[in-house]
Amino acid sequence: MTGAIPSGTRINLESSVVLLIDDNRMSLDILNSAFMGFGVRDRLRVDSVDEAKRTLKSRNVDLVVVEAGMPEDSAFAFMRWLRHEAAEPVCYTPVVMVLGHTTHSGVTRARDAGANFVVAKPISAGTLLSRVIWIARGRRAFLKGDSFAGPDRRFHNLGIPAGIDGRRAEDLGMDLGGPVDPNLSQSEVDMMMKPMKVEL
Amino acid sequence: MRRVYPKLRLHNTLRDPLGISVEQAVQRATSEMEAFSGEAFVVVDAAIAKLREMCAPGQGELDPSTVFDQAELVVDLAGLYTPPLCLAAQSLCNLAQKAMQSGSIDRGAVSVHVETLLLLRSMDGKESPTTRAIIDGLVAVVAKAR
Repeated sequence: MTGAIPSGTRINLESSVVLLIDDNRMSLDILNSAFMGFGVRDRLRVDSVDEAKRTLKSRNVDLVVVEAGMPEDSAFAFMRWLRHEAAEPVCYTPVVMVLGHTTHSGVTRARDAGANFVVAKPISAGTLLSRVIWIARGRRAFLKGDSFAGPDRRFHNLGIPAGIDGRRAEDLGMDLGGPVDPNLSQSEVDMMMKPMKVEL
Repeated sequence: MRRVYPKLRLHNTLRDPLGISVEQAVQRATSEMEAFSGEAFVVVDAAIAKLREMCAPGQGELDPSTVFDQAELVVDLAGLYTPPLCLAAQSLCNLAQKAMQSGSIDRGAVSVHVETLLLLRSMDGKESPTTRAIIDGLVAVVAKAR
């Protein structure tokens, strides 16, 4: 239910401020109840992006959750404003976009608009919380340019395709070839990073 | 392109020993969300009724985007509580989306979906081999629709 979040992980969202944006009152109530359950005391609920912008200008917000399917594409207009026009550090505010009818193109569009994560409706509490924890744990770089502003979309570090020169200083332009050994298990990787005593 | 590593306050939430376990947080949130089921089903039933009314004889051309909106409402709200109803409504969303591209919607295919929504609404809301077979049937209907 909570994805790859290890059992026993603890979280304290009591002092976090979450801004919830949805034009559908019922959906907003349900979203609000989820964050209430997560222990968030300060839940700011708005039903329009204009109100959301006003809120972000006057309050420190730790997380924005926005319904992507609001009328006149306003959620995407909001994302453009937040990522490209809002002042620092507001422009870096993590955003979870909620998609009703989830299509591949919808997810791509949300990602390209600068969303940190996309959650498909119907929302489950486990999925929603795991995305919040991924954001809390992650150290994704934030890219800011004319054509794109948002969390690095290549956060899996898959690198650039072979034979293509990257545009970033840290991009490696060479073909590394295929693997010659089987993949290491996570515990093998852990042992390489932080050797531990084992019982023989 | 500028690369920034912003400091997020959310990072600190995982380090707080006074926090609650993830399992506890999910359980609390799920119960809070379930408290809205009664209210949500009032909206869901109204959406299904509207779809049924639109499919009735003599109602003129069906508007794919109106069908999509009503079906999406069912996905949004019913999905939390009854997964099969959500899957059936998602299938109707797919049908409506296909129709938006082709310009016309198959009234018969919409009617089949609406009757299925009503049938699933009368069932216990849990997934079973029967509900899976019903949903597979809807997927086949959408695949055949132009």
